Amino acid sequence: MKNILLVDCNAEVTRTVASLLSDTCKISNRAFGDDFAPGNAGMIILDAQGTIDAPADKISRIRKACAFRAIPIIVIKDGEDLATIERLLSAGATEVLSLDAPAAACRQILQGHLIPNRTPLEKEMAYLTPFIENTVTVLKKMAFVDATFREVYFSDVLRTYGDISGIIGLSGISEGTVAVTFYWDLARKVIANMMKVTEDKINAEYIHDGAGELINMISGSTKKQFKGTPFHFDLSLPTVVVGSGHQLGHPEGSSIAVLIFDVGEQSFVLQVCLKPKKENKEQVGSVQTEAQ
Amino acid sequence: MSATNEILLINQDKRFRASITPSLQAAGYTVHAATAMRNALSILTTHPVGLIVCDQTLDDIGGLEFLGFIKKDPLRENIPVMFLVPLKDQGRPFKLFELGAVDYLVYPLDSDMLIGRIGEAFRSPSQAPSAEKPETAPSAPNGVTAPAEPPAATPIDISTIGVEVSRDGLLWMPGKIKGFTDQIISVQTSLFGKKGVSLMIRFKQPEGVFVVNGRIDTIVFDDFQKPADIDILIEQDDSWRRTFHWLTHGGDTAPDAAPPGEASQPAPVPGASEIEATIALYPEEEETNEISGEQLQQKAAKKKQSYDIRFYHSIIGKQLDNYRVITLIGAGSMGGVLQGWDVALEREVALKIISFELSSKEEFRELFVKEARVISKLNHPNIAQIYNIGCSSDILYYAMEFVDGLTLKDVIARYRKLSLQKGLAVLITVCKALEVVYQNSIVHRDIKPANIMITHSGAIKLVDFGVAHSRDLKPSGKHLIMGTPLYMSPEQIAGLTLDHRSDMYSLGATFYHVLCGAPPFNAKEINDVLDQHLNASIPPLWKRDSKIPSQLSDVIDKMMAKDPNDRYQSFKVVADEISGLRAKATPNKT
Repeated sequence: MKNILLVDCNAEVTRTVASLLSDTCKISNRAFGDDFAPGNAGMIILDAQGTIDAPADKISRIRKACAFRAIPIIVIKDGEDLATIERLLSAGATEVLSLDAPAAACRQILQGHLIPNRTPLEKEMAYLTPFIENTVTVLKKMAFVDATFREVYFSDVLRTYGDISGIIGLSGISEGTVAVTFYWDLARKVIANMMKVTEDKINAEYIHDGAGELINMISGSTKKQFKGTPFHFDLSLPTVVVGSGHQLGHPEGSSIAVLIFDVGEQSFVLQVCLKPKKENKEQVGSVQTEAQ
Repeated sequence: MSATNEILLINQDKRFRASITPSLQAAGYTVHAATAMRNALSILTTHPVGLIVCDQTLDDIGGLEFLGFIKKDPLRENIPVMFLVPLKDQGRPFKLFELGAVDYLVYPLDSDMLIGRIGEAFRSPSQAPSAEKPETAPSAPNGVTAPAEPPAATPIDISTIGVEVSRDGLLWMPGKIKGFTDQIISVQTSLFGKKGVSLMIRFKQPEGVFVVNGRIDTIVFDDFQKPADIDILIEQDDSWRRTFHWLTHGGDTAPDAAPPGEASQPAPVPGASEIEATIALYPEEEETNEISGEQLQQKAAKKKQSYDIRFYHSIIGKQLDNYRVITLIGAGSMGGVLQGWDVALEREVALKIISFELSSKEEFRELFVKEARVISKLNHPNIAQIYNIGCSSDILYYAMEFVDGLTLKDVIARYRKLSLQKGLAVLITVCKALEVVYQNSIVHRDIKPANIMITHSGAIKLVDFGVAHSRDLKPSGKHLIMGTPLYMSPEQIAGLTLDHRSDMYSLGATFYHVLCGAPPFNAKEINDVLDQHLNASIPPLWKRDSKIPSQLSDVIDKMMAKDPNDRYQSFKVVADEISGLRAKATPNKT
């Protein structure tokens, strides 16, 4: 039975969620605070209706507390103002629902988010494994940090949820994007080790060089392994981005693998979206008229 | 003129995109495709899009809402937006222009016309954002002397414009201009850098998109969760000179933009996407028998679809029983189709998930299961197979054969029609498949070009039995009239009990279209199309295309007889007749 954590939810939201999911889920309610921790929640529902506090900030903090785990954060909000919804999604919300939405639709959407994440396909692991291994190796060699691959889940949207991201575009036989994202505490440690300076000496230049070099090395070493395979790609210039919620482009119809790594008590993610270009086959010229 | 040739094509119909993209690419445009606001925004963030060609409905919101959103976004408001609308929505251009669209076209599209109009949209100056320009002088960047050239009386209010910055031209991040001189721009952005790093700055101006190159001079930041302030030393080239002039002179030098409402009026084009789409009507309910003029119903349907799409997205990256859900292929009024992977048998599958509305009705769920069982017994190589039906986390679905290829609808869009020989060959194959369907007492109910596919290996597949019905199963209570107006049989329109002869009629209408490039009946309003199916004589096929033998024209005519008793009574007979004609039409090989 999945645990659903309701945060700051009023009686109406609590009642509604209970009516939709109580037969399959265990529901608990708590107030948001600085010590917020998701525990074993399989879903977090935040009531942001008529809230005085900025809900985006609260969502960012909840997302951070989730430490990159794929816990859906559902925000209950009045109305359907697109700009507001986009802001909440950028902050880390998975879905924004209104109590005015049809109950059957809400139930299905919530149930959809509650389904356990799939494990990767063998053909996906064929290109993810080199990224995982190279990430661990690069962190070890460059930053003297022991990173352990924890898990992977798949998303259909490529967003940065963290403080510092190094991003690199891939083109060529395969195309896509790879992004490594850290929260500041771990980024500071990794970059300080890489640049051989103390953490208090870190400035914009170190951040730029450190995060950029990290994604460049992870992608570059992986690129070499893909030579002669359908996954081979060329690298663009690394880009370093600060702040969370930035949505990045990726090829249509491709899955984004979110690889989570642990470094002690802290975590970071490598998001990989890699899609081999399909050959444009012409079917019409050769119609098979009879069953083969 | 726009400095980019990149088009963002937003359309849910994968087949439409597949059919139109090659023509646009051949005309020299780079085409990015999106189906939903979320991936459209993603593309706009990462590519210098010069024109958006948008359908009236996106996966997640309505086209008008998307247009409104874009036009309120300072970074993107100057990207011209062209709309594609169905015939029956032609009354809405005023609303489109009011919201900022530059043009609209009516389905179905002639690719030459579309390319011509896109060319016009690229050449024409897009709408200036505002006629009123505040008279505020731009501030100088951090530690930079005042502008070398005094600004004109009506410079752009820099607080209202957004830019995008990039290192590699692939990933673009939004930024805000904080100040500028003729040498330096101060930008607040989340894209990070250091002194000396080269950057590109993209400006969306009324005249188009301009990219300015520069190098970071200084960077100031206080908080790693907030954007940094970056001063960029600008490369002095024509692109910057024009941009600087625009920043300092603003609307004074704006080109003579024609009022949007006076954009060239598109000629009505026969056919419309909605009459090519499967519809569902409730015949027993008063008023809902009216097919056109159901604006409220349509609005509710779009909203419903938005919830459905969000639901389909919620299961991407998840696993339903043995099926891992990879990505969304498409969605219709009945349900969504997702690409999946069968972990047990290790093969690609298509997963059909029914919409939340139908899923919430126990009666429909039962019927869905019963009919899927019946359809799964159809074992024929030209019929897309149903592998399994399941219910996971209360989500009812079935897994079916994943067919990757072109539909006859794509073929029509790309080539207008099939050659006579190929058309007859496909028709014979489909007749043989439908004979099996008929022998199993199943009525497909939605035979149309979009549901006949040619796979990459050239095999023919009859797909989408989503609205199929077994004659042995009697649904209780209210039943739906379903089908696609361009190809619906008279008895289907009348809401009568259907048998295989209804599919015969739809197959005739489909191949009428496939062979001559035009459907048998067409009109602006769905009602008029349906009325013609009920009452009008079929324009002889040979009159539409003189190369079509009159005997073939007679066969199609008989397939489409108004009275089912006057049609062929089995598909086998049609296949035999067509085979005979085909043999006659085949040139002798000496």
